[in-house]
Amino acid sequence: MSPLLHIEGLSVALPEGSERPFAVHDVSLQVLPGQTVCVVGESGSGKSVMANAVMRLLPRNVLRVAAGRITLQGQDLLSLDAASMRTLRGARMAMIFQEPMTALNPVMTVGDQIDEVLLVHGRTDGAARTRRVIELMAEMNLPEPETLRHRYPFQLSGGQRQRILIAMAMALEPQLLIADEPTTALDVTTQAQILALIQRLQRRHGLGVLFITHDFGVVADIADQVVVMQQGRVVESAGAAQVLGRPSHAYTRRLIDAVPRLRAAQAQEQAPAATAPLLEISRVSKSYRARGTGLFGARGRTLALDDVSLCIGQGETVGLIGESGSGKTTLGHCVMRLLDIDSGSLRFNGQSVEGLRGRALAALRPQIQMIFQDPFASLNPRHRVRRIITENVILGGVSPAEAQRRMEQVLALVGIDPAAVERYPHEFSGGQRQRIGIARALVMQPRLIVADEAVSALDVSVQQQVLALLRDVRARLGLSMLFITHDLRVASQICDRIAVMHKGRIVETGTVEAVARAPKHPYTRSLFDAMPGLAWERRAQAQAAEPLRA
Amino acid sequence: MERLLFFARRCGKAVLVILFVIAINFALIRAAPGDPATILAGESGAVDAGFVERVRKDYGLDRPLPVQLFTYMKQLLSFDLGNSYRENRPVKEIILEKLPATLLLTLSAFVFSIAVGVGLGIAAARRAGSALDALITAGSLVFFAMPLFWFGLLAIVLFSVKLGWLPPYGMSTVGADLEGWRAWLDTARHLLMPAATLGLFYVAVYTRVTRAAAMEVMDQDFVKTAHAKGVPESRIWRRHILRNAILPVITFVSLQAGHILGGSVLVETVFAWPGIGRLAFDALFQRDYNLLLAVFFVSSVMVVVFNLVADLLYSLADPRIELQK
Amino acid sequence: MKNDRMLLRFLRQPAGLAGSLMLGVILAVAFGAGWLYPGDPWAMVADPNLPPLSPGHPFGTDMLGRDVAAGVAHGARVSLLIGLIATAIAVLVGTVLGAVSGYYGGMVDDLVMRFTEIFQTIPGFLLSLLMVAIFGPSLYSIVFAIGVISWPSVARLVRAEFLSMRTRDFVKAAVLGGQSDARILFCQILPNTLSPIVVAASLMMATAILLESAISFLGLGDRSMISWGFMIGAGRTTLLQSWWLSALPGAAIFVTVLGLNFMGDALNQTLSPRRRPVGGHA
Repeated sequence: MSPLLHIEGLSVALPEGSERPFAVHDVSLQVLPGQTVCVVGESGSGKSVMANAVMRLLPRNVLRVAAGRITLQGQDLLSLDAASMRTLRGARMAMIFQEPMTALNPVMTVGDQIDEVLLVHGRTDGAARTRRVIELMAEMNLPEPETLRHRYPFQLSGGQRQRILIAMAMALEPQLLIADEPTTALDVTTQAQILALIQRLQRRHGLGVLFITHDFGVVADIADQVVVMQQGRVVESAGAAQVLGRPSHAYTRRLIDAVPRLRAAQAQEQAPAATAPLLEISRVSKSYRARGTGLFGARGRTLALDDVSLCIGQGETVGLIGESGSGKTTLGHCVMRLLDIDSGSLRFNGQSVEGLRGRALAALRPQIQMIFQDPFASLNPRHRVRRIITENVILGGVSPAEAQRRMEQVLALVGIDPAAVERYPHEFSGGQRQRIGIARALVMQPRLIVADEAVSALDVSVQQQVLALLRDVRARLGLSMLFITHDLRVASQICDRIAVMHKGRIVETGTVEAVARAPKHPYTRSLFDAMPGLAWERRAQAQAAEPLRA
Repeated sequence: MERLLFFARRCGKAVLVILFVIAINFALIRAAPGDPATILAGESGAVDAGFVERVRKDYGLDRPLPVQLFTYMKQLLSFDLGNSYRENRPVKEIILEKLPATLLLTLSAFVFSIAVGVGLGIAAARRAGSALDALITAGSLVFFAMPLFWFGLLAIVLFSVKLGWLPPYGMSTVGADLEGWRAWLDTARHLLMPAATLGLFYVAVYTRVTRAAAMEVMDQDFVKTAHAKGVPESRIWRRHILRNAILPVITFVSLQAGHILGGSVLVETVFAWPGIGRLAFDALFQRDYNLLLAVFFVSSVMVVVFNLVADLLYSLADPRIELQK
Repeated sequence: MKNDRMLLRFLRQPAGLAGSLMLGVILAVAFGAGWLYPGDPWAMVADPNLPPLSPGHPFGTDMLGRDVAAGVAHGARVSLLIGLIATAIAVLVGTVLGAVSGYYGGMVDDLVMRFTEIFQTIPGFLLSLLMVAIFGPSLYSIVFAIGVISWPSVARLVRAEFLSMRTRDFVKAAVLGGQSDARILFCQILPNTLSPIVVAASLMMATAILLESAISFLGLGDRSMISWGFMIGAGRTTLLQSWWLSALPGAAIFVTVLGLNFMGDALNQTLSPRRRPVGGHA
């Protein structure tokens, strides 16, 4: 079978003064009709640039195709003039992007945006276009297409917007679909639905799919062929079974090893404490005023937390699992006393803390610290690292000499060179900044750490290291942790118990193993079922178990 | 229904602004050194003791302060702007007489500057980084730096004195008794320089704002989606970029409304254009504070009305405003 | 970014270089006015109505025989002084109000924003004329008037910045560290918002100078100090014969304001660099 898409020796040059000369260097791959090729890599691997190059959507004055050939069904794309390229886009080849919210024109109805594809490619019959728009929306399983098409993007959910984008892409039944991380910004349950949709479309229309992702679980579920990229080059390219089961390149092996799996709980290092719990959350509720109100606004309230109760014992790590809108971040902020609760009680170390103010609150602060999600926003860009780490300690009354000693101790724990403290945050990598954030939290000598999606923004290999660091630090210092995340597998790497949150309530608690084996609540079940790469994980576990049987 | 509520809210805000303006007027009169009655009577009126007494009674200046404020508010809200000693008639009449000239000047300048400014801004953004862009940007910076009155004076020297193409002063040729379209043409010839002077400054302003807004929108993801769909450049600019960039421009324009009226004071003074801006200048000269306050009040009301219209336009253009409440 | 590297970036832009040069010349003239033209610029020193480039009087003289160049030089001091102080007032007031409004939100924000909106809507120039007229023309009333009508735009800008910054994680970390509100506003957020404030301040100074010259032109300037605007206004009566009396001081204003605008633009590019201009897609 002749290839649908054939990329040969593609190189895309970066502007002068960049950290490397090429964003993409000598990359070759093929997509056959009806086949799904997944391109995997960490940030900076050039996978996105390559995808954009195929559609010739690279920013004109910044990135430039330096060498190579791209052909679509034998037609050379790089030498086409702009007008011909335009006729191909949307009609024979289509692309969907990562962020559904910003990828749609906010002032145009979603129906009009789908209609536009048909219009600009010569479908002049208005009524026929409308019929096709409704047909497409129905195929994408969007509810009530007749009325939905008159809505604006901000009125739709993330999953619905992505379906609209896919509808736009499929409108003219292209042969090739390029998907650039289309599900990364979506909840895991929505992600599963979108992936199923793409697979269904592929079977029905014989679509060739070039799927960019960083998530090996997704790759395991949908790929026929896998291409692994690192620093702009292809390091491995083979069938999915081979790459996932018997990877030949060291980098691929490292990446796959770093993928978090549902870990069986290790034997408890200490016996479950018979002492009183460190943190007791009892029947906490909190609601928000709807946005956009003020002196002249209407009142509307959303219930963020609904009668939530949870305990964290001494030295215990409890995971708070939920998707966006579940209330997990709000609960974390309430525990940290960044927000006030409406009703219920919070007891820390036996003391009631929900009503603390002023000096009493200030005395509490060092004992509960937080690690944040975004390593690029959690450190003040204008302060040196030394100041970032020691500022709060010194303000709390500790002498500079003692603060220095503590800082050095903590830096040794997290693995940052003490000589680096005179530098600014932008001089460090994402993983290093996360370590600095951890150091900042630890230097206050807290009893409880709240980690709010602390590893979600990191590449998978860095994620592995930071999780190991957290486990290490926790053991040495006897810390308790509230680990907030949306990723069950990550939670299983570090949590003793988990609590699943949905729409402001805790629907299930227990050890990861217990909950995974027999989830009681339907929402928990759907979370587990939606995890990408389940089949692959089970196979790998079965294989690992095999030698023991013999 | 929601749109009506939205509009009602905006009207409420407008009324608040007007009340605040009245309060400022009130405060200024009281804060000035001297007897409020003589200030309100104006320099020529202050000489006549009888007139001053009448003013004192009209404004209730011997009553307690809150009553004074209330009286003043009632008066201004009913557009009772006091009397001019000099001309011996109500200030309201004087202002209404001169208002059309100012409206003609500012509206023509406004339309001109919007049309040209937005057009140039888009042109510059479309070819960002090119020679045309640099030219437009430099040009707008130059016009933005010129004092309006200086530019007007230089224009008079060049076009009226040296070249003799256009009349230097006034709104119509003195003495010539023209009818119908000849009268219109005469007015137009007189209008050209003052409107261009006022307009060119704002062309520069709107060019900069439009260019910045367009460039921000150009970077957004949905523009990329439009490219990926195969939409041609011209349509992308029309339906995607322009439609979104126009929103911050509308906001900006409505904020600038007050400025244009201020600029008209200068332009009307330089070109002896018989509008309320010129009136304000005369009032300054004659120390007729009551007239000056009245012009300020009327201008504020005009700006508020203009802002209401702009808000309505904005809510029509941006579906998120009305529907998100 | 290191300071010397920033300076180089700034100067490497044509706008930055040109602006700095222009402003430098004006500053030099302003500082050197005392040496270049000692004595009273109002003094009558020569024959009236000498044209420019007359010996000893490069800018000519006015109808009373006063040296125009001396007027321009001393006028530079007045304009720059007023521009600087008025801008300082506006930036100070605007920053404080904007910071408090953006950071605390809620009722405080609503009130301050309504107040700011009202001030921004009403015709500012007319209000400043009113204020100067009623309080009497003087340096203080002019500076005050300009400051009062200029602060709203700074307040809006600063509010937007603080609003976006207050949800940043490093601010939350400071709260968790027990830092007081004042410390967070000053030491954590403010240093990160200085760039747009500096750019706005330079553009605001240009506007302030334009406003001051307009006020003086209309006859409301401080009579004890010679000002460019006043000179232009005074030159109106003899516009047809001695056009340079109005043209030259206006040119001085133009150069100053243009220089400031150039610098503002260049500062903007230096401090918040965009990617190179994206020309759309190929």
